[in-house]
Amino acid sequence: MARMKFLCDAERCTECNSCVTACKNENEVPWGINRRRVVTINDGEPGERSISVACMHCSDAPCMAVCPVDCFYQTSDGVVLHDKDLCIGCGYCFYACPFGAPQFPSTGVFGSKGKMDKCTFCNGGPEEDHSHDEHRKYGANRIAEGKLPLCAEMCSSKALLAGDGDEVADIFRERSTYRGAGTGAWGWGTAYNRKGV
Amino acid sequence: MKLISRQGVEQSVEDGLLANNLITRRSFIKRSGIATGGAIAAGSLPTVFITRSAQAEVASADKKVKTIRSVCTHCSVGCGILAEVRNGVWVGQEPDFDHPFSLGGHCAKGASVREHGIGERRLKYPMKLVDGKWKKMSWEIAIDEIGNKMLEIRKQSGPDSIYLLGSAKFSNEQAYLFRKLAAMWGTNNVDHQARICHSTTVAGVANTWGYGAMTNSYNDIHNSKAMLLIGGNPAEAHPVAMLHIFRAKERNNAPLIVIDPRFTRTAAHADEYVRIRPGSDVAVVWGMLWHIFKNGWEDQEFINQRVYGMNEIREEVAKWTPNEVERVTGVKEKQIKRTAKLMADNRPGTLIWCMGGTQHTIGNNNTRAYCVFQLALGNMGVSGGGTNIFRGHDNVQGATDLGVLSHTLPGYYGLSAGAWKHWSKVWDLDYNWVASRFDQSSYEKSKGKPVKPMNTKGITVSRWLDGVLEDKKNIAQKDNVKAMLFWGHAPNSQTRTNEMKKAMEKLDMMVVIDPHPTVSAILPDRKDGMYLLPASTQFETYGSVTASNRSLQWRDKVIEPVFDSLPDQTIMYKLAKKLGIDKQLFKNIKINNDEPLVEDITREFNKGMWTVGYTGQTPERLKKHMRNLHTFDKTTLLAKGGECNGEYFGLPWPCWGTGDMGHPGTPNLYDTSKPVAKGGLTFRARFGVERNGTNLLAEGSYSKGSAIKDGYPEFNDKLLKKLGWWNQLTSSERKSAEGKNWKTDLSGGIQRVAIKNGCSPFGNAKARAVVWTFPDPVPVHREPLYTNRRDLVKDYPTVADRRSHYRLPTRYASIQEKDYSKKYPLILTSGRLVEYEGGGDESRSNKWLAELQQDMFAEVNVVDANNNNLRDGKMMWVEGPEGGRIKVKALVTERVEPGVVFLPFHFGGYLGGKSLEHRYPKGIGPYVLGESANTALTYGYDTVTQMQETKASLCRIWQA
Amino acid sequence: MKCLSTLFLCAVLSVQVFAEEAKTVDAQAYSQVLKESYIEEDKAVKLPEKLGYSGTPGTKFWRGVRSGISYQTQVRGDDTGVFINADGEYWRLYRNNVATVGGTIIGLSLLLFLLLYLLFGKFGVEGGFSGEFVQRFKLHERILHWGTASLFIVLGITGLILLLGRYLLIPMMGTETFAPIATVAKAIHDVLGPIFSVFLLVMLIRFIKDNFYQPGDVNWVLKGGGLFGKHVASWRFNFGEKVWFWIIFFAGTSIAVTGYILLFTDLVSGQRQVVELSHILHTVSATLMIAVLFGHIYMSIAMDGSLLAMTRGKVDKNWAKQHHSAWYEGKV
Repeated sequence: MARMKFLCDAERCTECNSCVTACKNENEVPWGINRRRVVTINDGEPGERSISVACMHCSDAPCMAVCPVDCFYQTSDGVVLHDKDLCIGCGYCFYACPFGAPQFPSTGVFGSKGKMDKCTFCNGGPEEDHSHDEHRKYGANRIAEGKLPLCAEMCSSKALLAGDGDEVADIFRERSTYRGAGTGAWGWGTAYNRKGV
Repeated sequence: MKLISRQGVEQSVEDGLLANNLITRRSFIKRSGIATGGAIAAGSLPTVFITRSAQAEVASADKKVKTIRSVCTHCSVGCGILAEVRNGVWVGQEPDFDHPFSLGGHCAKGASVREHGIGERRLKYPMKLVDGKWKKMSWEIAIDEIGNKMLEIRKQSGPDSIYLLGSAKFSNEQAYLFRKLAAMWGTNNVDHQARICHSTTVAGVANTWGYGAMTNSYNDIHNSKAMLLIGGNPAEAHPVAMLHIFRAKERNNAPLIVIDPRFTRTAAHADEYVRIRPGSDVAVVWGMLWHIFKNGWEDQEFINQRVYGMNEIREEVAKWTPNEVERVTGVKEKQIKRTAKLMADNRPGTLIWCMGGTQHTIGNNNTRAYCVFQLALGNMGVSGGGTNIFRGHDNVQGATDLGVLSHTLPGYYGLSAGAWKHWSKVWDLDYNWVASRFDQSSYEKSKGKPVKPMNTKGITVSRWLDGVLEDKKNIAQKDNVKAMLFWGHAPNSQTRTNEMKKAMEKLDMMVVIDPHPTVSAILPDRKDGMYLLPASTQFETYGSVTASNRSLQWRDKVIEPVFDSLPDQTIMYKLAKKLGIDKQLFKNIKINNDEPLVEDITREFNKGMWTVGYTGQTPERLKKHMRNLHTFDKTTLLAKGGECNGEYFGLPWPCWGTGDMGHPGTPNLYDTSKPVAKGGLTFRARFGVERNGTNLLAEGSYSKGSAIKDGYPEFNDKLLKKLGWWNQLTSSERKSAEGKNWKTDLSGGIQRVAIKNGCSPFGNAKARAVVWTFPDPVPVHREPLYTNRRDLVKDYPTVADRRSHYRLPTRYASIQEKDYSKKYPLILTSGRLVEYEGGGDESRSNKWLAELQQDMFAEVNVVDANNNNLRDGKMMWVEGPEGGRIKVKALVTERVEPGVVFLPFHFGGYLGGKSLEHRYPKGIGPYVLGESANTALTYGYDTVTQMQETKASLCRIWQA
Repeated sequence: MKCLSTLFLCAVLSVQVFAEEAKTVDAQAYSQVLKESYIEEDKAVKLPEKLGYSGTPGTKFWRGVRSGISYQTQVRGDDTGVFINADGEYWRLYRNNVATVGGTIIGLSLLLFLLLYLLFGKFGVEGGFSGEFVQRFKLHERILHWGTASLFIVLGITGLILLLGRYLLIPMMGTETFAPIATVAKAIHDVLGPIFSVFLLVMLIRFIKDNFYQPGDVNWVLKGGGLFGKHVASWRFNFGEKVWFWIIFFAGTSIAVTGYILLFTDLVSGQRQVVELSHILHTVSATLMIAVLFGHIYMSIAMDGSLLAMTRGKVDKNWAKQHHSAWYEGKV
């Protein structure tokens, strides 16, 4: 069974933010909610590198582990999704997530943050595929159409890769071979239990 | 009222986020097992949510989605867009993986173009300013009032008092029509952004080897063994170009060298980053050439065969010893030598430049120096080499080619009587009628003879404000500019905002024709005499667009014009009709419901654009290419098999001869390894055949399969006869070609026969390293007008003031004489951000982009920040030497070196620390406003093209 | 053991966070300070002439990724500049263990006092009730007590639903039924929390003067509070009650303060660790209070006549003599 993964090639990411706007476009995410972001380290200095970060769909997802209402589930493709109908907006997932993926519409008066929103790997939610409710709550369901997340598909320099982990790894391995230098893959080890990769 | 078309827009995720629905009805019914808790919850569920989702399920039953192919309207890469449309509403965007340029990729702007079709911040109806308030009006009344005013001004002050400011956002057809409209109106006061973008490139490069354009293509960078970027930051300005750059970097291990005053996001990925002082481009290039000549790394055979004047260059370069280079640029010998060696060792190497090189008072010197560098290494005319000049806007190349410029007619024919006669013939109009439209007096002299305004260069876009403000007697036309038509122009992309504001206030009439109100609508303190007309975006009409690599692409219409907006060609028709020139303007063009038929316009310019080979790109061929995108090779751009077999994608110009001739387009200019019929080319014989006893024609170099195995001049009827090829023309071609040359023979016969014999229609000459017609024949370094290196002014002074340069007096030495550096010690430079484009009126109105850049800022080095008591993220003032000041956020960074302040130029809507937001018509201003960098930027114009200086000025900074 | 070590790590971490917090003005400056400490170390790694060298990003880069420092990003929001929130992992470990440990402690406490009651039943008053009463708690004191108590019970139950519901209730009723319950529980918890904190504060002020150490308290402890038959003198509150008071004082204050942080996370924007730490303190304190509360309830029921003090405000004279002789004598 394919396991869906994201991989961001730090050697190629130029912080063009196309992944961010592609996500907004595809999922109609409102102002203030960012399912994906690009972070730049050593900004303006030698060694500057940028990385696009979103939900990494971890194998052993901390958000799933801490949710008090157990609203998360993992699809057979390894995509971590959640049910907004169950979500109580407690914010625990945000505190547990290594990548800062969960987003909330309000920062909360009396702790009410609203329903959590996060990257769905463009795989919608628990509702029927392509139903209006699914689109309204979770945005696109590209996986059901046989497509991959738009952020990766639209990446200007093909730095952000998404798809079946084996294929993503192959593409990246080939690239690294040509490059002949360090890998520059970010988050792989953390998300997929391969520390030290 | 076209509001209806929006009602089908899907509800956003926002509802899902903000809705306090505990459980939806459907899932509740489906899942209610132990229902006690659930029942309570359902009881407390607001009914509105239940009804809404029930309705929506019915609505979403209609799933018929149409996919339409278009091209991104931001930068010049020309990325493919696949738009999904349902019920006339643009509901989705898909990556166009088949597209040879972008391979599905987009930058932040491209990935969000759908917002233009669904966004709310568009100009919705024609409006005018009445007593300081915006009043809605109908198109008919608006056109009527504007036309009456134009005619009134024409009567009083002549046609030259109306300035037609066009746009690089026009399609080729609209650009052509706009230039023709200006011609029919009777003025050369027509121009567009290219003037302040790559005009120095076009002038410098065209005068070096024939054509002023990117010589190779983005895709051809795949073949480069080295890449030298100078004054360019594709990571932010052309992100998809990075895809091709990375490919060469990774596959060929091609070193990526970035020369820039600023450690850009591109530099972050470079193998070698060379930091220079702003405005010292010529010095750094000559510094590299010094090492190349010293070590004999130049390609002497190439120079002998194909370059004129390299010895004069050698003399100039000899002055640029490593010490002198370090004194002027700040770069150490070791690094200059290493960079030069990297380029010499890795051939072919490409040289890429952008606005960092062009926007200077000596921009034309810079661009020619780059060309000379490539010529010396023999990198021209080869795949993987070339000067890959990345243009700015999506169709700035096309709008330039089609002559939305004050110094030429479409196709760079110039403004001579011959040029007018050629175009009059194409237009099927009487030349005398066309001439009668112009002011018949004369205000300038050429070679001692008076020249009429019809044949003199108009005022440039960079100087229109001086055309308003300058004393009438100093301007080489009848009267000042009295009315401006801002047709797709962001005024905040021009320097000297404060003076521009004055000019806008002095005008009798201002007309803004644009999808957005732009800064023009809010900058002047006006109470009346201003009109806003809503134009459609390119997604709401169709036509061809020329990417930076000279490929033409056909855009299909994605959606119908939103709100009350109209496509530009329709507005042009309405205006022409009002002005009484519609019969002439649209003589060969069919009109449907006030909308000119776009294909007819393409066909018309196909008939006349022989110089740059815009003749073979018929609408039918272009549409065929768009249908067969997937058949083109992603590196060579050559179609393998299929309908377009053997053609290059988008028929990159020159695509010689008529469409029937089937020329495949020219992927790499001046590439002699291919026959001309298959996209090969030689350097253009544009500058004569001999100079001071030296042969200007190529020697021993010719394109593959050429019948003439040496240099030859450009083709005309006489040459054909001399060669004995006259009989190869058909009888009808002979009739048309008699007395004509390759540029003016409307039958295309001369071109056809030349190509049939393997020759370039424009001859086979040497590129000239020395442009004897320019103020500086050999490119030399000259200090910027505002410089803090007073020690260099003596050695590298600017030129003398000029009395009339594009009709206006232009100052150089009189500014440089004065020392401003005591009060203004820091260098001020400007540039782009990836999220925005140009003046940003469009991109700052896009909510997905605006969210990512919410504050105008200035990049300041840590040292300068500490010296001036600035803190990161706190407000600061920046003031230029002409007194323009802006209040911005400080971004303390090592990205700029001490002594340099950088400003992004996309912001507008603030002036001198005050917001002008209240002046926008309600609800249609951009989401993000900010100070315009150009308020602080200063006077300074290129000696050849009037390009504005935005990359090297002075400033002072202090805490706000 | 794992849980304890986690708690310890969290505590160490929290000390660090607060220590740094005290020194800095805002989160941005704090982040900058941390960032620079990394840059310093890597000066040796930089190739001075190869600016922008594009080889492997190297240790500096990866260390930065793991550092939890906020870097540059165009996206606004909480901690958007942080690559990896490493502290989240500690919090997660805690969160996954507290249910078992905390739940067990509470369960054991409940069991213990239930057993005690079942085994020993009620303890009568020496010499029986006299029928004469003495005022022990005034009306406002009783209102304070019961207000705080009832709020605490509701908060305790709703809190436990959120803490343990996933393990105890979801297996019973499924997520679809539990989610609305949890939503309601959370809403109640969020609204009543601040009210509770007000009651708590006033109650603490009202009773604090009688809960300081008084002579004889040590004797009360040594004699096991009279558990072994011998009478010991005691003031208005005996030492056991005083301990209960101080548990409420510290744990209650902790609950209230951390509760406010959890309610208004805006207050600590960009300081995710503070919220994580607050959550830990909140739950630990609450668990402690709930566990001890069962003892308090047991005492009030098992000691015959005790409950009257809080219901009618008056206690039997003999009860007073037996349990709070020093106070009774002082009163008479």
